[in-house]
Amino acid sequence: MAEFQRDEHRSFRTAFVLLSLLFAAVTAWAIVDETWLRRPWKVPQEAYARLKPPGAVPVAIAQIVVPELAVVDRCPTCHAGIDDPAMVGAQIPRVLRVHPQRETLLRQHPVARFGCTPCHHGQGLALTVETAHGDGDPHWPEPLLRGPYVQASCLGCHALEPTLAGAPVISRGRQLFHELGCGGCHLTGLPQPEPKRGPSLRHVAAKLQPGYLLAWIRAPQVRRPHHRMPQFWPEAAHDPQAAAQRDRESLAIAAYALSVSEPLPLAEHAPPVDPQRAAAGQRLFDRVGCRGCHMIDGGAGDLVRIREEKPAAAGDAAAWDSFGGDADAPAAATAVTAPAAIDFAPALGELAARVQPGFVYAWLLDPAQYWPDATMPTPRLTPSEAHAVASWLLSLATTAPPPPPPELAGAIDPALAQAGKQLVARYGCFGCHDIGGFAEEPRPGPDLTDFATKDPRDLVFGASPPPLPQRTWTRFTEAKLRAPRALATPDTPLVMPHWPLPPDDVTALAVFLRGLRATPLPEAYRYQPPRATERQLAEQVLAERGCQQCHKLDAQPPAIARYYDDAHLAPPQLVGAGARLRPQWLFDYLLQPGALRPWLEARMPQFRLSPPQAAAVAALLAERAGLPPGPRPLAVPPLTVERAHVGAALFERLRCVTCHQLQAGEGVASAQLAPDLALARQRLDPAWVRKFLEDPAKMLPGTHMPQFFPDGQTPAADVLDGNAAAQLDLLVDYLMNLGLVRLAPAPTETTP
Amino acid sequence: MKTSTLFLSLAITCLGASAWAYTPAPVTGGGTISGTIRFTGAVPAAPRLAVTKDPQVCGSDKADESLVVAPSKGLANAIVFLDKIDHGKPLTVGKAELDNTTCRYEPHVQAFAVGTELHVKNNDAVLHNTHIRLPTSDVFNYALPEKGQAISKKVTRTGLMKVGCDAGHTWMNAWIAVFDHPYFAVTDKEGHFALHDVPPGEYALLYWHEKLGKATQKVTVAAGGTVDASHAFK
Repeated sequence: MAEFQRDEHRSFRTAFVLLSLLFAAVTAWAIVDETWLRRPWKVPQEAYARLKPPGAVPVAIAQIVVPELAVVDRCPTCHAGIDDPAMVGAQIPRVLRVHPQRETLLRQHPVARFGCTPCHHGQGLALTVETAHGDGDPHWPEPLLRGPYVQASCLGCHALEPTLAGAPVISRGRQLFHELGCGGCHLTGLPQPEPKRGPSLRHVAAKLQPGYLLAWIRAPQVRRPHHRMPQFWPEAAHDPQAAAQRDRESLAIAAYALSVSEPLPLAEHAPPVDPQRAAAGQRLFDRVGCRGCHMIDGGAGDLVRIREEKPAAAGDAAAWDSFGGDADAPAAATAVTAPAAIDFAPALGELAARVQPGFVYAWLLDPAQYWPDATMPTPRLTPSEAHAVASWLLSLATTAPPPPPPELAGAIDPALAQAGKQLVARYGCFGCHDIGGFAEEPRPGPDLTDFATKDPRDLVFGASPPPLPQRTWTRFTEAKLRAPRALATPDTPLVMPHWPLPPDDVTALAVFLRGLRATPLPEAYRYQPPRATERQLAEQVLAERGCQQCHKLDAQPPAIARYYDDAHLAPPQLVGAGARLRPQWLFDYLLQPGALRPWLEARMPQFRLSPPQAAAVAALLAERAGLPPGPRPLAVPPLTVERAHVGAALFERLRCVTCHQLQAGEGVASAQLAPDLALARQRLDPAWVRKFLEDPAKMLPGTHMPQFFPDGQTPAADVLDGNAAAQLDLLVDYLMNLGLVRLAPAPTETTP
Repeated sequence: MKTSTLFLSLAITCLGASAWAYTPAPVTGGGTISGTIRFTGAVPAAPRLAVTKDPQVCGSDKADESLVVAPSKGLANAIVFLDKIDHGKPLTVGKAELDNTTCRYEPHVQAFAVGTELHVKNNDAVLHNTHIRLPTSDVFNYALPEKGQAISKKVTRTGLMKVGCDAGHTWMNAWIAVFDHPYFAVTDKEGHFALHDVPPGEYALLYWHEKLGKATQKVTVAAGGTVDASHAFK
């Protein structure tokens, strides 16, 4: 018994010893493994330490804690050189290299304040590559954003800036989202919900030929390559069943649109097209400014047709360069290059094949009657001029309108229209178009406010989905943007239409969508650019209303310039105009343009801007000219009677009215007339006028205005003691007070 | 941006200048290039230019001076110069004049060396502005509102410059060629020209006329010799 017990104790003891030894070995191994063997983060840490003076950098886990963002990021443990400008060049291991564009990106986003994962995502606490980047961990919802996708994070703080210089991909994506009208169907949670991007269909029967309307709905991109309208039956090209569905459904939609169309009063009173007036119409079209946005056939033929043929003067072109003029480029100055197509607004050559004749007249007189939100400005044509332009435009088509099917030719069958109404609801046509019967509908597509955080497991990857690890957010989103319908299953039919997008645009849109998150960052992190809303409004006006098609606003010459041999007959250039023009005048003029240079045939159209839009543009021009936005009170002292007399005499002496007169005529060609100085007080900034009088070409390159006071010398030595500065001051005062009385007419000349 | 453009243009200018910068050097055995430029084609009847402004000062019309041919067929107002010459006699930098007289520029064509002081004068009781430009930029644009007023300005740029008046006198025009070397001439009424003290060597001689364009000819100047470099525009 005792022996048995002894035996039992011994085996227990042996087992205990063995197990203890095993435990000790495992513990020792764990310590060895953790301390010396399995520490992948040590590799870059040690490599970094070797690149630095001995002892300068401790080998340790580096971590950034940002309590405001609930972030603990150990990324710099491996990426040890991320904020070290010395870590550049091919000899530095990739993992240690400094952050790209550190100077701008990290200076504005210090690592200590922003951490790493708020921008890059991934698992901040992890210390192996796979887990930290999150790619290898299917349960980590926010894997590292790779390539352009990192730009998605910019949206978290920069929602108020549509364009970010350092993030071109997401800027492009955001612009595409806006341009393609995605916001008509989807909310994004960003400030400023998107308007309906497609034209109004409220009076569509008065606008379009029914045959064209049908053909357009069936296959819009085929008709006009640059158009935004997507394809609703993309499968029809290769699937006869889908083609039959397209034919049936497009007919019903067209029938519904025509059946609810309301009359357009101006079109009903349009005079019939008169071929006799076509020539006058063409001249107006060429001269008033239509060419800035529209081409006729979209090709080089446009330029040849209207630019006057000039005989090649040998003295002008061929020989300039022989003289070795300094730093001038004569060849570039005289060469007329074939224009790139102006792709701002539709080419109008085939207008008669698309639209009802009366529509052109109505549209030219008042685009807003057809569509209150139209981009097209009111061209300020008289009814007779609009008739002439319409008569010319409608004479150009080389094809006839497509004949309408019998269902659309006469009275519309109510049953067909009713079927069409259901289809309009199903496809969400009203997301982009104002169409009768759908006034108060919410947006037809899903809300994308928190789309970036969608779990891939909740996304439908089509009838034959790939295995789970490949079902990523990026893969889904890019596939959906490439071919929306390809992801449908019998249970989830999809109605999102198809835009034929190039791969770069697909990526750009996906990057933008990756930025859409409902959970905002703390207020302190969200960037509030000064005057963000106002500047954004102004930039949108400049871009969408095509201001730069006619006016030079930066280095880019405007599209319309190519049509003028003499730049002085073209719409004026506006580089630095914010310093030249008074904000109040600019504001008034933008809202209600008038004839400032009545001799010009080019005409500033009426853009129907809202007062906030006009104010924003005026402020933006001031800002671009380096002036603070906001009102600039006119600081002009009242003119004493004595100074007024001297000013008038000087004004007379300098013969200002030689050019500053109101009409071409007695000897002054229209290209050489100058603006009405009676407007100077309300229109011009006195400080600018002072500088302009001193050196006109410096303030307004290319101006005809000569320099009257070169090198501080005056031509009128007997006025104000010949003091040029005093004369300049007086001239400015005089001009700024001239607006109070009308400018005297130019002296009449007697012919001998 | 502005600064970089400035530097770029400076760099291009320096590059261009260094390619055929002109260095004055004593000329030994210099030769002469002379000759007559003729226009042998039929001189088209040029209608007189209509005066559309200030007829009391300018007269009712003006002669078209764009092609002036003597009975001998000699062509006036052509410019003759050596192309890309890099050394030779020093430049003569003096004074040049451009008068506005009865709404016409005098002279119609002139050439001078860079650094010359141009004296622009208005002899009319109307506003003239003398707007001198290179193909893509202004050289200067002075207003001369007073009769007898004059402005002197050193011309520091080179090249072929066109002169015009924006003050409604659209018919007024003149040409000024500014060189960085002294080997150039404007033909006289009979079409004669001469370039003196040309270092011996082979050159490209260029002829320019505002209406007839340009022509070029190779000339070889022997030490102390005279080359006849007459040319006929057809």
